[in-house]
Amino acid sequence: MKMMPITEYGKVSSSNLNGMLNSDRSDQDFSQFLSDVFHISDRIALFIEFALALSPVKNISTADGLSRVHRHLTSIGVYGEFPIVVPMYGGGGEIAQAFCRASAVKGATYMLDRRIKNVEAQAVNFENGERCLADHIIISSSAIDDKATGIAKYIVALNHPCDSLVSDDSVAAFVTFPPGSINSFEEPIQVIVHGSGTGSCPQGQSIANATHSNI
Amino acid sequence: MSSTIFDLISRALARAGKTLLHVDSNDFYGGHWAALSLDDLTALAEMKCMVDSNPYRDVVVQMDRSKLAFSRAYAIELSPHMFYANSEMAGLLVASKVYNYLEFKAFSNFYILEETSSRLSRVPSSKEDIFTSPAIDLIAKRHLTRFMKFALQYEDDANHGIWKGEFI
Repeated sequence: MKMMPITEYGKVSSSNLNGMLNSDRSDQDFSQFLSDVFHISDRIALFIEFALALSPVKNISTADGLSRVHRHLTSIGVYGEFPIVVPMYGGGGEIAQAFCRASAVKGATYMLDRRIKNVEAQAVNFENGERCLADHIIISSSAIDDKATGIAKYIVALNHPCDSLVSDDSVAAFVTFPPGSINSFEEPIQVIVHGSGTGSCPQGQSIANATHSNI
Repeated sequence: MSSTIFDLISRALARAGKTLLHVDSNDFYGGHWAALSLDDLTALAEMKCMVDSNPYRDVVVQMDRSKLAFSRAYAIELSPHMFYANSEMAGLLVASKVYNYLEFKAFSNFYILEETSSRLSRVPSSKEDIFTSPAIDLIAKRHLTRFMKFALQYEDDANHGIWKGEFI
């Protein structure tokens, strides 16, 4: 089969290949790929890598970068002209609670603030002396993987609505500080700002939630 | 590790008709995904909650309550998520109808700090945004638009050669 060089999206040209088609760039540095193949400037590559692909690390791979940008672009238009949906009153926490509520509506019983003392084959003993028999027990592992990477988090309540960042059309905003943009931080700092429109803080205030990979 | 998985399992089992008891050692829902009130945050700092599988170290909470509203006026996420419209979670919320218990708003603003600036720059995040953005010159717009068109269909066979080096 004759190999046809693709030099522009959707177009086939007979000009020189430069060996590009032969290389698997999926592990290549994403910003290098953007520059080599699409002639994207360093400045715009930062936009793509750290703001569209939301890269939490300094050199994301091409495969990861592309899948993240793809996720972003294919999300626009699904529910409206925005890629991301924010559940009010506390995001992921609300989602967890919603599943619990849905479960309770179907008959499940919930007990909060209950610690397990030990687990038998078909029974659970609680620290307060109560015991529960069960045909099946699903339990979480409380071991934390020692090899897990640590991250640093900084959450601050601001006495300002951050209305230059958030609005009625976007009740939250994502802010990235790419490597080298601030002092000695070598990895990006990612901040999600929630305005009062998210229902997670009073009017006139906002919450900034910052994360940094602490490698 | 996240207890949200258990919330999902719980709901699935309940819907399948199982008799179910769901136990959480915290006195709030959501585990590591929880959105905490000011009082809950203080409890976390004092290691009074999340005693099972606590992944947090060196937690410091500084609060001037005179400057803050009441405790439950705040829902501070420990692990803030960005739920993409085209994600498994969004699909699951719709398919399970659990979205009925939630109220959603839009999120579309992205900013970056550029080295040469002391102000945040707004990042164009859609083709329309690029078109109207004053921050990018015309040639850069062409390159960027071309890249975005590719990224939208990067998994198509015809595009594999561009990043995976396969023959077509």
